Amino acid sequence: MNPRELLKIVATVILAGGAAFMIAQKVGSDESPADEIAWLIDEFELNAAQAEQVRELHEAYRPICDAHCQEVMQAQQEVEAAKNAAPEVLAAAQQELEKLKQRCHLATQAHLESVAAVMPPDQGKRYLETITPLLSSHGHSAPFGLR
Amino acid sequence: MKEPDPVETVLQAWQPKPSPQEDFPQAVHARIQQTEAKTAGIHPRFQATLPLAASLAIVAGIIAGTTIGNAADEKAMADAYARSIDPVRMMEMPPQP
Repeated sequence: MNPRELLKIVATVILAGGAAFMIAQKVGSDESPADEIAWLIDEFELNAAQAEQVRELHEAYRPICDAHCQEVMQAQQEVEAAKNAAPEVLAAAQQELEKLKQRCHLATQAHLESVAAVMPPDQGKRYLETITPLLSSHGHSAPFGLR
Repeated sequence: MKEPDPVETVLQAWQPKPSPQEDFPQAVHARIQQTEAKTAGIHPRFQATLPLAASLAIVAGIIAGTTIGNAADEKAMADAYARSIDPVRMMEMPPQP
């Protein structure tokens, strides 16, 4: 085989492989679940009853989560405003923010554990292992429920 | 004056005249045939290798694209879910696609 033919083969391999890679990636992303809960149901292989329970838990938790989000945002604004105030005012604002964040973490942890409890044990364990590292409270400790 | 040596004169004028080998034309034809046979062997090999290499590249590309795409989607969905249940992360801007 001469170098020209070898070059043709290499070019064909690169073009064909690259095109196939991009098409497969695009088709795969077009088939992604519609929302996070649909993904959760699909990813952790939940049956209809489990899926319904998870949806209910998620819907029930959403207003709590939104309220906590508002409170944290407000507390953060207060910390920003207190940066020019007396040190004790700033410290109090920061303490309040940390207290709120802690409350959020506890609520998130409780929600996570109740969702995991709905799933089959092995999937629940995998759910905690997958989601816990993505939470703001995650340090380098074990996932919730696995301590 | 000394007469030039006749042998020397003959030697200087002499040019070798190789007599063609008896099988010279046959040897040339044999070499041509050998070259043609070699080239004929390369072309079918190349013609068979090209589609095979392209097919393998397509299969490898599909497998890699699907695997990497799925992993990226899974990570993005897991991240979106985590943001939807974590009030502190909820305040973050969602990552741009």
